Order: sequence, then structure tokens, then C-alpha cells
Amino acid sequence: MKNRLKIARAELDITQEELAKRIGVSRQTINAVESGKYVPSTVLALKMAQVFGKSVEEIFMLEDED
Amino acid sequence: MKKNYLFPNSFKPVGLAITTISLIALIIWVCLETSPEFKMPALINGDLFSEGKYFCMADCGLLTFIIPVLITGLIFIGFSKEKIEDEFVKSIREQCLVWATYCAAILLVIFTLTIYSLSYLYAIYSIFPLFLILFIIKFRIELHRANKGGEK
Repeated sequence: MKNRLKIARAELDITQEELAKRIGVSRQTINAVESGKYVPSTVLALKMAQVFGKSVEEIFMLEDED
Repeated sequence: MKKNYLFPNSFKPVGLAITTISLIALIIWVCLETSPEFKMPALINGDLFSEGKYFCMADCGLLTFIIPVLITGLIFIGFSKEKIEDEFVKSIREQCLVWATYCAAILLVIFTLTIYSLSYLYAIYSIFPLFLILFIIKFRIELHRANKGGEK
């Protein structure tokens, strides 16, 4: 699964740390999601989408191998 | 499923203290030529299915007390919550537990095939503490790796 988290964060001009604080996770979690090392749960994906005011599909996209 | 069985973060320093004390006691036990003996109530003392060996008193050494205390300390270290215990940390914890279980199983097989007599009893004593130590080391390494990457 790929994501546009870094771009969405840049658009909102917030750091990984700020995003992590807003949704109550660690910065490492945001970094792992951004770099594709970790696929977040539905709850976390929804929380991220809420922060950016977008739908989950606008931030997370399925790839062919998914 | 919201429920988890982890201890609060404050248990970690307690675990460190207990582990340190029991490791020192273990070193003293190894260095001592004669260990003090105690009488303890036992479920079984002797061969299985032999008469008069159940629910009796048994002689035991210092190691009988050191190992449970060491296990308690290691459990507190390994299974206390991180400062931020989120789903990513939970997934790392799960992966490290699987890894440590495989390592402990391999060690158990090696010990069973290569160690005999009373030494085998000591090897079996060490399996669970070794499993916990391997899990803690692997978990700390993986958390450290996760902490390194990314921007602040």
C-alpha cells in the first residue's frame, strides 16, 4: 500500500512530531507509515485523514500486489 | 480488541532493579562452593508415579529462589508499556516475541540433544530467562532502529 502522507503533511505544513501528537501516536509510527514500513490500522488511517480533512482513499492507495 | 496485558511504564525501573539484584545473587551462587539449603513444600519430589513423593517437603538450594525473582524482573522489563505504547510498538513487540520463541525453541532442542545429567536441569532452568533476555534485546534493538529514521 502506498501513501501520500508526506505530501499531505507538507501541504498542511506540519512536522511528523506535530502529526503524531495530534493523533496520539509516536513520531516513529508516522515515520514508519510514511516510509511504507508499516501499514496503519483503519482507526489510525481514519485519524490521519481527519487531520488532513481528506478521505482515507486520498491518502492511502492500494498497489497491484495488495 | 483494546485490552492488553502490559504493566504500566513505571514497572520498568522496578524490573531493572529486581533483575540486577537477582543477577548479582546468581553470580554469588555460582562463586559459592556450598550453597545454603532450605526445606520447601513440594508438589512432587522424586520420580513421577512413585509412592510417597507427592505433597511433601523437599530440600532446595538458593537457585530455587533466584530464578523466580529473575523471571519476575525480566517480565517487568519486557512487558511494561513504552512511554507511547501505540499500534506500531505493539507490532514490533509481537514480531520480537515470535523471533524470541523460535530462538528459545532452537536452544531447547540443542540443549536436549547435547547436555545430559544434572547440567541438563540447569540448562532447562535457564531457558525461560534466556527467552525473556533474547526478547528484550531484540525489542530494544528494533525500537532503536525505528527511532533512528525520519525527521524530528
